[in-house]
Amino acid sequence: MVWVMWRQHRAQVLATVGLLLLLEVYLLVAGQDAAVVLGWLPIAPLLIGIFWGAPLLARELERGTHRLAWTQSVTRQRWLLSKLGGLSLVVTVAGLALGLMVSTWVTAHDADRFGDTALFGGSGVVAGAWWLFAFLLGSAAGGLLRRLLPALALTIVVFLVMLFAMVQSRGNFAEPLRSLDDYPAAGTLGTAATWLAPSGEEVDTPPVCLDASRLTYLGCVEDAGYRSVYYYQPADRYWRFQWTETGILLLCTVLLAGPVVYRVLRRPV
Amino acid sequence: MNVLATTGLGKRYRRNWALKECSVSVPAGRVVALVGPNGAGKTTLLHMIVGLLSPDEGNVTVLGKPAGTRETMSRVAFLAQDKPLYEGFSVADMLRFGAHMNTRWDDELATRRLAELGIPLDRKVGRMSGGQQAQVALTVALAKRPELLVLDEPLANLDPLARHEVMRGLMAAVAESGMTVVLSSHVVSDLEDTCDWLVVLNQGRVQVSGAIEDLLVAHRLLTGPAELADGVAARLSVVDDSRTGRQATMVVRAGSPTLDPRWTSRGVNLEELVLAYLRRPDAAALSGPVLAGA
Amino acid sequence: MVWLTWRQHRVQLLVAAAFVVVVGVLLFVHASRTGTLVAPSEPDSVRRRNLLDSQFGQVGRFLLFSAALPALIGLFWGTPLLAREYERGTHLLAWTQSVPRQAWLGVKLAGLGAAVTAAGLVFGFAIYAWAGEFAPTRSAGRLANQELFVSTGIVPAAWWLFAFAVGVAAGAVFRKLLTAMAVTLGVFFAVYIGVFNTDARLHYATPVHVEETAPADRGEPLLINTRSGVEDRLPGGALMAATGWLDRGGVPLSNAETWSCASTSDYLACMRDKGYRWFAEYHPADRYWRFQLTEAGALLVAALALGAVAWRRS
Repeated sequence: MVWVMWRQHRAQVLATVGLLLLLEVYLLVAGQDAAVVLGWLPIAPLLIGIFWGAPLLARELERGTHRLAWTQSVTRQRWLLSKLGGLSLVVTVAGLALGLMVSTWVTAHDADRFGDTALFGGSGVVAGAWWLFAFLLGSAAGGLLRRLLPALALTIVVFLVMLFAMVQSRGNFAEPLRSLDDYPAAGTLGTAATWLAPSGEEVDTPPVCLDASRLTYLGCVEDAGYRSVYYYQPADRYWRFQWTETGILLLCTVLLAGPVVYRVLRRPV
Repeated sequence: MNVLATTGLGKRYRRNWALKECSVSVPAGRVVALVGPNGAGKTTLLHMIVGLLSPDEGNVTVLGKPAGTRETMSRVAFLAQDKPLYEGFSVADMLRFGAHMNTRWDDELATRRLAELGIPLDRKVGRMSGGQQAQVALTVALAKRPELLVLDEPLANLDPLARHEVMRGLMAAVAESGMTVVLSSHVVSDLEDTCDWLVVLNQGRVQVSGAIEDLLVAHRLLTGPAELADGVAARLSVVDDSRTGRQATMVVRAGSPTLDPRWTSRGVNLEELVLAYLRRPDAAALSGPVLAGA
Repeated sequence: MVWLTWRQHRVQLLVAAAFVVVVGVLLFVHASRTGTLVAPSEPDSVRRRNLLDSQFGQVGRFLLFSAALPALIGLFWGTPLLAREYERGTHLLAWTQSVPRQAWLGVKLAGLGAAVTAAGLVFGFAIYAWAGEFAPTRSAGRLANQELFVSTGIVPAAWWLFAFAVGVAAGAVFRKLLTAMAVTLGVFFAVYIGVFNTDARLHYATPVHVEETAPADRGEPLLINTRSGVEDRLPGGALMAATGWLDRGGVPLSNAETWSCASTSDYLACMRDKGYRWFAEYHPADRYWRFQLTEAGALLVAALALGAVAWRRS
């Protein structure tokens, strides 16, 4: 069984491992300069959804549904299920390996693993969760639509929506801290910035200094008695946020992909 | 007039010749069975006839013109192995495909044929049974009103009933239009009742090409004692010679030689003839029937 | 043939058309709303700039994703064109009709290529017109802001067409849909990120060079430190190629020399006392179209070459 899985998916496995090794070499060689390329990290799980997930069921169903009569449907379902399970494991391990690589790079170059959207999603444990989510999302889309191209399109759309929603809501995983006057230190996740008016209320745009030039604006507003307020998540919440996002992703995976995969496997193919 | 003629045809994939020194010609109006084991080069030959491949050696003439040109292809129809169709298309879409892609297209023939077969036009191709898909594919080929129809393993992957239906439909169309048909198969029994010309292809070379009727007359199956076999074999042109213990069985090319009375002689059937040649890939390489067609 | 092209690719065509129309409408609505929020007659003020900046940001943060569009075109328009036919064996059906293979491929490549280009042009000019509403803000410089540069004018169409050609060629060479898709993504992003990371655009033309005329020029500084707004003294919307200091001989300073005044209270005065002059190299905003044509031309040549590959391999 393990051999069959390996034989069928070795191209994907080897390509993934190869790309991870290539990235590691690049991270070591490029050092600080790798930051730009790492900006693309949030998209990486999508590749797993496209090349691992979507083809898994879509190809089986697209090919030969009518040509071959599957009489041993129970065996086939069990076979698919164990394949799904086995590949999920491989994908998760690969995602965690990426997380480890990025975390190591972040430590070595003192990068911002919390405030930087791409680095947060690509480091720690959440990388593995994103990969697993994308994989099962792709599988579910393939099983639902039964054709590769539409399944790919659905995978891409749902993934991007999920990514966008997650990035938007990340700052609200916990009540942010408030800082008066002082800009939060590096390594924190800033969520909002406002002004504290002399009257004690907070405003986004103070109704003063509207005619000031770019260079004199800040001084003018401060002279008018306004103080800067910053909301942020402190750096030591990194792991708590990592686990929160991981939990949300796993929950979404179960809620979103689970029923579809289950239904597909139950339905006679 | 030869509808199809190849001379010295050769096709190479990397270093292996899929087809070598292939010379056959087929007179008009024939139903040609192209027979050979898997990997004999049947598909390669057919693809060169319809211009999907260009030969590395020799040439192909179809309907008196070079193969694969626009003019030739408007008079030739091809049904590829696995009978490919656009799975997302409805049957009506497949007919529109044929109408848009061909200069000669008989839409009335196509709709009438499908109606007779009870295939609804609004059905998605991908949702139909293998037999129905084969019929749609055959309809798209026939509605071109081709002078030469080329079919690559048209009966593969079909159940016996569907095989029968497809073959019957094909024969009806041949009887109606008088077109020439070339169809390949590795199962000889499918072809016995329908074909009248035989081409045997083996290991990339043509072994036999000729009218089935003539070939059957020209071959005899001899059975007799093994100890006399060498003497007989020396006098006759032997295609296949198999000996089991005391008995020898030979397929020979000849008229009716006078033989020791211990020998029995009878005519061969198509399957025996083909098997005899296939078993001896080189024995008959330069035999009469090949030259007869060339 | 035209019917067949439409029938086989209508989903892609309709999705792309719908996308472009929706983007166009949204941008039009957003631009007119911005127009009413920020009156054009209003003098240049912080309020106005802040408003424009925040309005720009509402849409601007999505500009990064416009990189994904050519990739999607390559995946869903390009690779299936040949790879799906090969995978299903339908090329044997299509290429044995009366229409010759060259005509089949020619109509598909030309028709879909034209459709991709047209959609890209609509997209590019919708964003071009939208960005025009924000002209006074620094981030809205169509040349200086690289994300705007690739999503306005004719360059998006060129990238879409290029990605389409990459997909078709990959399908022709590899004949398997997933393999071709992987290759398409790899090649496209390698080129796309490569163009960004190597600062290739800075070399489309020789930059304009400006420097302080004399070290003794103590009046209003020609240029001030980047952090406090060097560009304010440079023409608006310029694409910066290089900035730094020159010594008396006009040779750029080493790092150590550049930082030699870092601890003094008046950095500029200190540098000038040493006889150093500030210089900048930039491309003025009016080179936008020249740069657009350069990039689009290069991509068009690449697309044609890839089309030729597909032509030969099929």
